[in-house]
Amino acid sequence: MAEEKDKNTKREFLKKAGYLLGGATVAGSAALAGCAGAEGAIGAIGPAGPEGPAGPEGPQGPEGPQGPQGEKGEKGNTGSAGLASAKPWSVIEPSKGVVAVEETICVGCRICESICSFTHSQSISPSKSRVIVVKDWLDPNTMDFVFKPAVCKQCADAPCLQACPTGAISADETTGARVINQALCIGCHSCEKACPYTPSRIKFNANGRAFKCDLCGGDPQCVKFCPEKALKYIYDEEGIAWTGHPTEGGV
Amino acid sequence: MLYGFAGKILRVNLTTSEVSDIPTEKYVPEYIGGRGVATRIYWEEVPPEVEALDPENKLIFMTGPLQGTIFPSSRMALVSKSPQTYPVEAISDSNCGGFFAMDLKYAGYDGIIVEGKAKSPVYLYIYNGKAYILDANALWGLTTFATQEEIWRKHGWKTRIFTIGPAGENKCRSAIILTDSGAAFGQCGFGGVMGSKNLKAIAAYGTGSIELAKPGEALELRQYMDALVHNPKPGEVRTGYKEQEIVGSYPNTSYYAGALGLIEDEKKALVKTRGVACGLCPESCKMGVQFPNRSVPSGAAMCDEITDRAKVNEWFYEPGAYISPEETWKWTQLLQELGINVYEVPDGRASGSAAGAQSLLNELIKEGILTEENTGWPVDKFGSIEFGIQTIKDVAYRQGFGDIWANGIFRAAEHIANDPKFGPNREKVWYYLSLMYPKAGNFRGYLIHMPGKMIAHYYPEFLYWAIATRDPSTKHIPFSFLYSPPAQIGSPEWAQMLMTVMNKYAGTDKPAMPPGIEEVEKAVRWFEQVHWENDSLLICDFWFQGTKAYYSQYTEDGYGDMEIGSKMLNVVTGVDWSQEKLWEKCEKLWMLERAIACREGRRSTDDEFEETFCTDSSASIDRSGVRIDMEVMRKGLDNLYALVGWNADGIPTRARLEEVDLKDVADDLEARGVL
Repeated sequence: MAEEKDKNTKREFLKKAGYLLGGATVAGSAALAGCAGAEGAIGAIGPAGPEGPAGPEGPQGPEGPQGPQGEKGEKGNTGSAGLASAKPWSVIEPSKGVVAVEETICVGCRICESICSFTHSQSISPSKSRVIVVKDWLDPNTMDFVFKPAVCKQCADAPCLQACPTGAISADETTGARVINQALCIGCHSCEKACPYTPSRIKFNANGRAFKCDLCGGDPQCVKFCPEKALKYIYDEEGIAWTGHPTEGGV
Repeated sequence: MLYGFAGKILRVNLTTSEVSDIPTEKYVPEYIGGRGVATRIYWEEVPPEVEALDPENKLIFMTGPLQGTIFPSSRMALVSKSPQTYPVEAISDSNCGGFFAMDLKYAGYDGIIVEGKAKSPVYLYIYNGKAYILDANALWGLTTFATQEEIWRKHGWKTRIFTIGPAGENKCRSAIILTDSGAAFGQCGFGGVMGSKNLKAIAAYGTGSIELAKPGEALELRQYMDALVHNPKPGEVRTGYKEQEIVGSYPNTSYYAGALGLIEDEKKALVKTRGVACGLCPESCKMGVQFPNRSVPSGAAMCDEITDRAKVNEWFYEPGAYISPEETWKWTQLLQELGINVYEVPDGRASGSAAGAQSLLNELIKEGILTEENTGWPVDKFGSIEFGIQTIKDVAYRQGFGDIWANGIFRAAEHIANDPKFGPNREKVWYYLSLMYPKAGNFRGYLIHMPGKMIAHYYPEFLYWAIATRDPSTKHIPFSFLYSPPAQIGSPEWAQMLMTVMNKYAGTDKPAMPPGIEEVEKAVRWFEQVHWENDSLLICDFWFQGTKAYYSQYTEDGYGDMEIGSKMLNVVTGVDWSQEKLWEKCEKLWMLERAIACREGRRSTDDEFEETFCTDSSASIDRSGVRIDMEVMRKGLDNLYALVGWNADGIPTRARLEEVDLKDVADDLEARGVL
């Protein structure tokens, strides 16, 4: 199967990347800087920009009717600075597990959002969900209908982990998921800015502490409850994580 | 703490620009939610003298206990005085799917009461427990899609929006209120009410959350429910949609592709489709459509709006000119963009059954009552896409003859019958109307599609129809009961399943088999209870009853779980009601609505079908091939009144109202001389 072959190549690539990161911190930083550059590009066309509806973030601004002005372009300005100060971690193992998305099957029902917030916080709110269903079917720019469950790709190089100044983010032993220890989180948003995806897979709770997908300890509930099986849990001892970061505002 | 709800209902007075809150606790759990709560508010706040398009009329939007939880669905009920009912405007209700209901709850509100009339166009923006009345001069005149795009541009794409199109602005009595694409308050012409208030749209977004009373049991119940639908089957691999190939993610999508006329190979290449779901619902019954050249806006639609027009021409009329899927979709999208009820547009037609106004129009054109001279419409092109598009536009913008049709089928018919311009035969319009639309109270809906051609119905459905306050054929409760057993229709197994379920819950199995005359009232009472359960918890009646409650294809014996409604209610709100108790409460809501209808003038005679409908030589026949008997219907009504505690005039008695704790209602009816 093509998918199988793809996976093997990716694994080899990951191994090489792992050596690089481990052997030469300089090279590692360079790679990260490149990543940050790409991320800058995201910010430029990002949330609620002049392009309007393409802006993937909802009304975040606390101020009433004008709603979503808050986060406009913020990412682009501060992205690379955040990463430059990142600690040069020696080796980051690729994650063993990841939630894969079959976008063409998703029907946009948002069950994953409600289940995610419910299983993590016992109350239901998309703002507490680690997975974000991006829906935009009347976008006048594309005239396309898009339903994409935006899930954390548990990146092999883990830019969020790299960016965290306090070491609050680590790889989970069982699943390899990049998980946040909220006790260590200082709410600086470095991880959010480092996330190469839009919308950022890192969110913040009412206390300003970051949270993100933790793969539910190996039994992701979003996968379990997806009625269309558009979400799949992929697990591989050797690490299968994803590194194909988008060069522009990819979901 | 009030579980399952956000806790308050928003009241917006557009005349004074004031907003205020009502605690939801005032109405729940007693009135359950959704249509139940909205009906109670209507009883308290909309007196019978008010006319539908008056500023004093109110639009009462309500969510139920299940919205925004982990249970389906994200539906919303809307109760108001309807401008569409005929001969008098009366209480009616409409339901809408999509995502607005859940996002409204996350924004901090369980419902919205809109009253008064704004001086100039406005829209309402609700964000995290606050509501703002904002200027909508720039939005007025835009289509529903364009309005939503503008609001998304301003408030972000996560905002969910209810909006009217030009039809609503022009107070068409058949105007809808649309959200996203493919989900709308379609019946009752409430878009016209919104337009009469100068309210262009309602937008909501919030980051709040909903708590459950028994979180420990919730996931298990959700899994149990999913197992009853089990979609896809165990071991079945989903294919997903592929560009240039009609492979739906859900069988329905393929069905819709057929409806749109995409089945033949050479047409497949045109379009990509996908299943589209409403909030938290495991089905994806709508079809999303995108044409690659994007000459038509992408979007989603349900069965009734997606009709292979070429096929309909073939089935019901002389085969007309070929109409391509793209043209059909253009027609569908025009309905959504201008915001009109598909059944009410002059050549409106629904897939397969061809419900809607086009069969009437067909007769009127054949009869020579409507001509090119007196309508300005190219009647010789009836059935063509040009005719369809011109008439939709004329109705939405109230141009020419469209101005008359915009008042709804019945008011248009009245106009035609009284205007000498329409020739000596013009009064025959009543004859055709009574053949196709039996009188059902003040609402004469869309039961019959072609004279003499009726899709299968029988007495429990007729009686259910007769006492309805809206068009019940677009509700699927009796339909699901009849057609969903996982067995061949007409087979002994199928009959056995119908009888078992009805016996268990309605207390008799006699009405299960056509013609279903004996003890029919018991079946109708049960259908009404289920109906109110669906509308108040707000579960989608299109799929819920057939796939989970009455029957399931995935249980060993084929039966579903009729008590799933109370199970969900208990987990969400913690009320601990048995299914019987829930149905008792549902019956109370039904009594309340009937009392309102009676207060607005409805009587027993309004429940009777037209004589022509039952006796004419080209009249419809029931599903066992027998003509509907007026005597049987009358007897069924009388038995039903006696069973549920209404007097011979069809008015709930004082004893009955007091029994269900509605003494205030009985007092009011007495003070008004109704009782």
